[in-house]
Amino acid sequence: MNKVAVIMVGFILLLIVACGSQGEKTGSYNFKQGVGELQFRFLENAPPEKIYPNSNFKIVLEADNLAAYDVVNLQVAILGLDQTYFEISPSEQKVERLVGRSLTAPGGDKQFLEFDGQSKSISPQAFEYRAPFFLKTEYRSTFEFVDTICLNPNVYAIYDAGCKPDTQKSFSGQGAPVGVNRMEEIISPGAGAKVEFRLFITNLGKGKVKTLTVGKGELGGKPLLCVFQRAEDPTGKKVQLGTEAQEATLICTASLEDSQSYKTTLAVDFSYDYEFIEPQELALVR
Amino acid sequence: MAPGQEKRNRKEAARVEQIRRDLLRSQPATRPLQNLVAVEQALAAQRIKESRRGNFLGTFKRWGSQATPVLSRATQGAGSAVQSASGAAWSAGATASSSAVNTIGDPGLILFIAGLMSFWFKGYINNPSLSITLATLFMFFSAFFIFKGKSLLPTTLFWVAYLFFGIRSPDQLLKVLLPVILVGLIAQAIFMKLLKEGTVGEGAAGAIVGVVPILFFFLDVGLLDYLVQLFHIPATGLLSNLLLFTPWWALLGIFTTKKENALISILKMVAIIYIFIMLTFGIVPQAYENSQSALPGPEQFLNAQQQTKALLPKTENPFVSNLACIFGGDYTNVESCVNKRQEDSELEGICTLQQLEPNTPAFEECIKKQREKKQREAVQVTGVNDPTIDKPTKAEFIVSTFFPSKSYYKKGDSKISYPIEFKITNPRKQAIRMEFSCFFMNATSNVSGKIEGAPIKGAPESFSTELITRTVICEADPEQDPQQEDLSGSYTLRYEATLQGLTTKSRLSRAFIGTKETAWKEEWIPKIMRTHFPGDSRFSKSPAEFARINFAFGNPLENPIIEGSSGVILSSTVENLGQGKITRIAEYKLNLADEHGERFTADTPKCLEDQNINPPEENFQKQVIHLPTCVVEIPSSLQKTPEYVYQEFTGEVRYDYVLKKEVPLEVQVIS
Repeated sequence: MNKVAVIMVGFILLLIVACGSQGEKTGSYNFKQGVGELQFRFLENAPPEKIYPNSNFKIVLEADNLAAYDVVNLQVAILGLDQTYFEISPSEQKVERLVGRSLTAPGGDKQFLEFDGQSKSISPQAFEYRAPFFLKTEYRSTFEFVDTICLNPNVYAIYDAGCKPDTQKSFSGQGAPVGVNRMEEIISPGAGAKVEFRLFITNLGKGKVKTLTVGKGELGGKPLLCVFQRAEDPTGKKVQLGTEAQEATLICTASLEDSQSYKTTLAVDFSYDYEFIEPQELALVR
Repeated sequence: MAPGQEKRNRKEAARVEQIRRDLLRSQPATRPLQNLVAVEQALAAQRIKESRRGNFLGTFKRWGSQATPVLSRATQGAGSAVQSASGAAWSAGATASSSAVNTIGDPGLILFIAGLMSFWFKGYINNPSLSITLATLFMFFSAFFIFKGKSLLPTTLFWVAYLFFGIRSPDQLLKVLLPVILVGLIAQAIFMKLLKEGTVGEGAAGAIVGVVPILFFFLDVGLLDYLVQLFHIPATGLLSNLLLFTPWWALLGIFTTKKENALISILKMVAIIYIFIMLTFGIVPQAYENSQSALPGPEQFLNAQQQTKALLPKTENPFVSNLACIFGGDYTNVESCVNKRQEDSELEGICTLQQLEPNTPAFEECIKKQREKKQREAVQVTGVNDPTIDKPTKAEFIVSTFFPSKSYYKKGDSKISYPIEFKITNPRKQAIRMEFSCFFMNATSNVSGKIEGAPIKGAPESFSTELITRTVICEADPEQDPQQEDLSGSYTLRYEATLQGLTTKSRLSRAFIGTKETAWKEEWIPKIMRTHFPGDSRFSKSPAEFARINFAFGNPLENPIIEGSSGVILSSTVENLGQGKITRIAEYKLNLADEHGERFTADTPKCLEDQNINPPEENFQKQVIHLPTCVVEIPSSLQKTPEYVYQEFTGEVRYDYVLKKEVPLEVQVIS
C-alpha cells in the first residue's frame, strides 16, 4: 500500500513539474530578431482633421523606436507645404538619440516632436484646400548579426563525429529594418583551408537604406575580413543601396586552423543611414 | 431557340397538320377554297377551346410562334377570305406572345437603314423633338426586335422614369429607378422561367442587355457632346470624330443583322474600318474631371450636341479623307495626307463662315491668314474646372410661363411687353455692371426693341449682391427707325445682357527642385508627381464660369516639375466657357512671385499682364483667345532649393461678357 502511495505521489509530482509554467519569457526575450523599426504617428487631432483659415494648430509626431538598436541623429522634416496656405515652424526637428528596445527598456524610447502650424486664408470661392506634404525622416542606426555556425575543414573525414555545416541558412531579421536574411557558407578544404561567408542583406522596413557600412566582423573571437560585393568605396566597407533593389551582399573570409569540425560564433555588425518618406495631407476648410 | 422548345414546336406543328388533314378529309371535295377556309376556322376554334381549358400559357405561346407561317400559308392558299376568317385569332396570339419579336425578318438591317437615314437627315434638320422621338423609336425598336423583347422591361422603365417622370438626379435614380429595375428584373426572370423560355439567370441577363438600347439612346442624343460641355474636354481628335461622324443606331443595326450575304459582310467590314479610322485618327482626350452634377435631360443633351457642333470647325469626314488619301496613291504618307486634308477643310470652313466665296483672292488670303494663325496657336494651354469651387458665378435668362408666345395686337393699342427673368448667382459678391438690349428678328426684317425702365444706354446698373434677379421687359421700338413697322407675324426675340467687370481667377501649382542629381530625381520626381500632381492637377484650375485664364509654365509647359533656372516657357490663353461671347478683356494678370515676393521676369512683359484687349470678331464664337508666350526667369530662391518647393500661383482675367437668349414669338394683327 505504501509503495502504491509513494508511486502515486511521485506520479503527481512528475505531472506537476512537467505541466508547470514555462516561466516568464520577457526576461529571456530576444529583441534582436525579426523586423523592428522606428515608427511615427501623429497624435490625435494634431494636426486636426479640418483646419480653419487663419488659425493656429499643432502637428505632434510621436517617434517610437521599436528597433533593438539605438537611433542617432534623427531628423524629421515637413516638406512640400505651400507657404501661401500654411506656415510650419520649425519645419525640421532633430533628436540626438532614441534608445532601442532592450531588457532594461523593452518598449524602446519614445519622443514627441511638436511643430507649430498657422493656416492662412483660402480663396474666397473655394470650400476647401487640400495640401499634400511629405513627412521625411532620416536617421542613423546599427544592427548586428550573430549566429552559431559549424566549421568543418576536413570534409573528407567520414568518421568525424562533430557538427555538419549548413551551406545555406535563412533569417527573419535582427530586430532592425535592415537585416541579414540569408547566409551561405563555403569551405575550401585541405591545407590552408578557408571559409567564406556570404551574407545577403536586405531592407525589411518601410523606408529606404541610403548607405550601409560594415563594422567589426569576428569568427570565434578572431577578426574576420568582410567587404561588400560591388562596394563603391576603396575599402569595400561601405555600399549605397539602389532605389529599386535595396539589397547588398557581404563577403567575409577567414582561414581555418583546426582540422576537425567545430561550432563557433560568427558576429558581424553594421551601421546604416535610413530614410523614411510618407505622404500626408492637411485640409483647410471654410 | 432552346432545343427543348424546338422539339415542342415541331411536335405541335405535326399535331396541327394532322388535325388539318383530318378536317379536310371530312369536307366535300367539290369546293376546295371554301373547304380550306372552313378547316382553318375549325382549327382556330379548337385552339381557343384548348386555351380556355387551362393550358393557357404554354399553348398560347406555341400558337403565337406558329401563327405567322400558318397565316401566310392560309393567305397564299385561300386569299383574303381566309385572312378575315382566322386573322383575329392568330393576331391575338401573336401579339400576346413573345414570339411577336420575330415578325420582322431582319430588324438589324432595318435599324441599319433607318439609323443611317436618320443620321444623314439630322445634318439638315435641326429639330430637337424629332430627334428625341426618333431616338425613342429606335430604342424601343432595338429593345423589342433586336434584343427579342428581353430588354423591353428595363427600357420601358427607363423611358417612364427618365423621359416621362423626368427623374434626373443620381439620388432619385438610386432611390426610385434602381429598385424598380431590380423588381422588374426579378419579375422578368420569373416570367421567363414560367414561360419555360430559360432559367431565372437567363431572364436576369436579358434585363441587363436592356442597358444597350438605353446607352445607344444617350449616345444618339448627345451624351458625348454633353460631357464635352460639362467637363470642358478639348473637343479634338477622337472625341470630335465620335461626336460628328458616328451613326450610332446604324452601327448597332449592322452588327445585329441576321442576314449573311456579300453585301452585309462588306457593310460590316466598312463599319469596322470606319470605327477603326475614327479611333485611330484621333487623340485620346484629357482625363475627365469628377463632377457631382445631376443627369441632364434629353433637351440638354441635344442642346449640348448642337452647341458643341457649332463650336467645332467644319472639317471633312475623316473616313472620306482616309479614302481620298488611300486612293490618291500616296500610300507611304497617308497620315500626313489625312491631316492636311482635315486642316484644309477646317480652314475652308472658317473662311466660308466669313461669307467669302471660294476660289476668290479674298478667300485664298483668308486661308493663308488662318493657316499662319493656326501655326501661332500651336502652343495650346488648357485649364480645368476647380473641384474645390462649387459655387461659380453664373447668369441666365429664364423664360417664364407669362411670356406671351402668341399674342394679338390691334393697331393703336399699347405695345406688347415681353418679360424675361435674368438671374445672376454671384457668390463672391463681385461688383458687376449689367446692360440689356433686345430686338426682334424674322426672315425678312429686324425690328428694334427697347428695354422698359432701363437706364440710359452706356450707364449700366451696378450690383454686388450674392443673388441678382431682374425682370427685363422688351418692347418693339419701331420709332427708332421710321422705316420699320409694327410687329406682325413670327419673330425670334433676342435678349442680350452685357456683364461688365467680371473677374475669374485661376490657380496653377508647380514644384521647384533646383539642380539635383539623377538619383534624387529618380526617387523624388515620381513621389512629387503622385502626391502633388495626380490627374489634372498640373493644369491651371478655375471655377466653371463664363471665361477663364489658362496658364502654364515649364519645359515642356505641361511638366509641373521646374528644374534649375533656364528655359522656362510661359504661355496663357483666355477660354470662353459659356455660350455667350467675350467682348473685351479689360485686364489679365499672372501673379508669379516666390514666397518672399520676388517676381518672375519675362522677356515679353505683356506675357505677364496687359489691359484693354478687344478680341477679334472671329474669336467671339471660338473657345480660346491666345495671349503672348514668352520665356521667364524664375526668382533665385526657386532656382536653388535644398529639397523642393511646392508653390501655387494665381492668374486673373477681368472681362466683359455678352449673354443672349432667343425666344420665338408670334404676333397676329387684328383689325
